[in-house]
Amino acid sequence: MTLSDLCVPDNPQRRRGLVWAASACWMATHLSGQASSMTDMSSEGIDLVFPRLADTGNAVPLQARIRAPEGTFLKSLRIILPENPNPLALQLKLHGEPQSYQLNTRLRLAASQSVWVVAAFSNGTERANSAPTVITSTACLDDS
Amino acid sequence: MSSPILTRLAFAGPLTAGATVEARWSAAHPMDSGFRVDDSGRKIPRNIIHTVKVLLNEQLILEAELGTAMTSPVYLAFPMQVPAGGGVVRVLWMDDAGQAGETTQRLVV
Repeated sequence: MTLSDLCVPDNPQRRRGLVWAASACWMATHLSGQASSMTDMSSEGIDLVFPRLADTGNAVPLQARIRAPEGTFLKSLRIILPENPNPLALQLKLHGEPQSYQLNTRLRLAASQSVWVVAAFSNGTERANSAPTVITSTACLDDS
Repeated sequence: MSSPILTRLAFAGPLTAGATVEARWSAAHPMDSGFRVDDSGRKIPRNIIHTVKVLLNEQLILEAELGTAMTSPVYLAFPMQVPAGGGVVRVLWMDDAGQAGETTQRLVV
């Protein structure tokens, strides 16, 4: 599944948020255009723990475990939710030169989607992995 | 706006020099995303914690930029290596309303 597939507003629940979806699409395209597309990146060394099904999008726990390639360390980390009105959920800059990293956090999801974690390493390479989830109600619209 | 925000910082793992512990930070901030409306239909302005900085013994170890997808309360848990002799961990944050705060916790080895 590619990002553009994810952006197709095929879900009737989301039609009210079309403007946002469109901007999310633009952002996602924009973000993925920064380097090579994150869908093309290797997912080696990135493990995600993310529930396959969540009752609401209000607080979905995410665990990301990252192992840097041999001889490098982790420099930065981005968490992207392509279907959210603001897709960039979290951006971390690490100064401790860690070779492995484990991040736990909780995210708000506007719709069922895949969370993307993009890791940048000290040798300039980037790796990305995604994990899908299905949610049954949204955290971003009052009248949903 | 300027009601105090309760924050918490705790460590999980072996508190021995050189070991890696998980630092768990949370803040009871409303994290208004800017997409919701109040009872009278007015938009609630965006007010989220947008920047978090973590210092271990006054050395910056982590900078985080948060988006509207972070939950309320905010929760971040990240690894940290315990220095010999322990130290002080400070988590600094700032929100869209200009409110800033700090959570300080001692790492006792």
